[in-house]
Amino acid sequence: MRGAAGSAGPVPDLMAALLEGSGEGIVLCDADGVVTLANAAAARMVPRVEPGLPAPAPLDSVPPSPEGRVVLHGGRAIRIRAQAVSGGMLAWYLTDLSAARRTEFLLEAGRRLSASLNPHRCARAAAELGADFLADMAIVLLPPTYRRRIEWVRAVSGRYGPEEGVLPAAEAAEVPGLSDALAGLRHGVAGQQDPGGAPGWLLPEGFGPAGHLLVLPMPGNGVPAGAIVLARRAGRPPFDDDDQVMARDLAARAGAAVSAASLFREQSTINDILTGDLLPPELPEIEGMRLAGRLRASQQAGAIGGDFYDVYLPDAAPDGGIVERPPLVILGDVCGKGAGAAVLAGQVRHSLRTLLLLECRLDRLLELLNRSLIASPSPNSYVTMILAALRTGPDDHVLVDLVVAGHPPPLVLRKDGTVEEVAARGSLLGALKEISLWPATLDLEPGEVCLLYSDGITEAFGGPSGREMYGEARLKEALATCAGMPVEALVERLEQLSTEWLGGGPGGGADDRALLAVRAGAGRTETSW
Amino acid sequence: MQDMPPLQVESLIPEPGAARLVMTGELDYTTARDASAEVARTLAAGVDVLEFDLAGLKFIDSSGMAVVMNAYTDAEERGTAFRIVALTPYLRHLIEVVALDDVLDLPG
Repeated sequence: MRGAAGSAGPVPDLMAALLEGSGEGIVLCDADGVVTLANAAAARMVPRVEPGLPAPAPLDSVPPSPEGRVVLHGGRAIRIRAQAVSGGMLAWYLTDLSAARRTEFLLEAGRRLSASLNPHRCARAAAELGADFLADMAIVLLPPTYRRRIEWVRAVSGRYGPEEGVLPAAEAAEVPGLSDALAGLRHGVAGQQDPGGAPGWLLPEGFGPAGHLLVLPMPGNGVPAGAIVLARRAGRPPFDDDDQVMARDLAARAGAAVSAASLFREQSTINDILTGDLLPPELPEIEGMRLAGRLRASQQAGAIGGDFYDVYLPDAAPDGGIVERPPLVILGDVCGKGAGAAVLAGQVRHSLRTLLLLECRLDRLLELLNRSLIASPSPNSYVTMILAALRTGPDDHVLVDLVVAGHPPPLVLRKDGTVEEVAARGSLLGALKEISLWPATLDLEPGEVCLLYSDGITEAFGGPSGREMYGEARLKEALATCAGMPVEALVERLEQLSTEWLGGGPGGGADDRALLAVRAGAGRTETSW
Repeated sequence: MQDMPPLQVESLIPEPGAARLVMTGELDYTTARDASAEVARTLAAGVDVLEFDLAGLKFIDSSGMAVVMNAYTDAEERGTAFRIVALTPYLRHLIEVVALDDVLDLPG
């Protein structure tokens, strides 16, 4: 603080500290126009201000007024406002507009670039920031795709909405320094390029000739994330040191944002592909019965689970050795979570589809699947599953041939509301060279239901204590209350009860849950109940 | 809640040539890797008998079951005897569901 023991008197310590910490420059002078006080910010903006001396230019040229005046001084734009204070004294308040622009830019860049996880929208935000704060025109070019095309986004200050397009990678080479920038290299002095070298396509129509050109790489996460080109019209001031710092800052932030968004998009695409293999199929209409299924994927991000179910209808026109067989439904659970589980579940479903062309004996199908899993080089290729072949019998009965491999056996809801556990069991697949199977055949009267489920249902932790397992007994009780329901309502109710159970638990929805029910009889409900 | 690791594996030598892994806590997707590493280390040391004490397991999922099954198959390949010396009723139930109760050496 530059202070003087003049008419203003000594400034108390606290006040001195407050003034000194202000980002706004403050200068006070007495009635004679001699400076009595100037804080650090004022001394930075107007270095010649000195207590005991007359107020220097440009302060002396600003008369008191509420709105003040913007003056250019020492390469800075400074807003100066003069105000009369008591005893004929005069105070000047100084705001460094260049610093304000940079602060605003930093805030805006952070806000706009973090608003999206879409690479294209990040590129658009970067181009708009460039046009709003730094140049008359800003164009962001994303890295070439595998088809050697470059997507670009261009923004022009004062024009609403950016333009977008695609150009062949070869044309990018026409802009001086752009090929290098796209490869992650900065060219020339701080990225400055000869504006005369800019090809026609670079600038928008009616823009006029470019006077100044900056071409900067956008560094990404280890790989270049594109490049940004900034242009000012001929006759406008060149990019000064501050502009260049800001431009590099913009390029770095835009690169980080585009790169993060690209990684995110890639990850999402991979996840979509993988979960696509786990998605349950539309359940078809099968004469003499109705099917309903539910698959609730784990709520944990990134933990794609391994539950699946599927339906294999008989080949429409079996010939050339393709076996005839009834419709088959399967429900299974592969070991583990994440991409590995998704890939394994996909393998099992596709293997089964192929095997079914040549083999219809359920036990034999599981033995073959077991062999293929044991031969699989990937570790933990363990699968539990149920195969259920659905045959229509006399008097609208449905006969269900069941083989169970290491999976909780299906439950049956009888006509009188009792619930039975099917006495079928067998070894899980992928662990032992020889598996043991105890198959069973169910006879369902019209209205009776066979329910296949995954252990995510019974092993759901929750309940009043939040730590209790849902368990088979509760599932059986719940199923018993579903007598007479249409099969769609039945699976929905069971799923809901299990979700409510999970609601209180700490791991809410931690595991996958799958349900698949077959109800004998064609009607939605049987009135005989 | 104390800040306990979700799974603890203690290695004991009940008799010469035998190793017993006592697992306490949760053997699941998040801890299976550590448990497998401990099994591999134990088998690599060249024991005649590998024993699992699983009575202290509060939770096990399919990845956890995989640790048990891998231990069984890896031990068999090396000619090492594998047995489970203690387990919870729930774990016994799970082993019955996957029909490994005939294959695994379980306590009576």
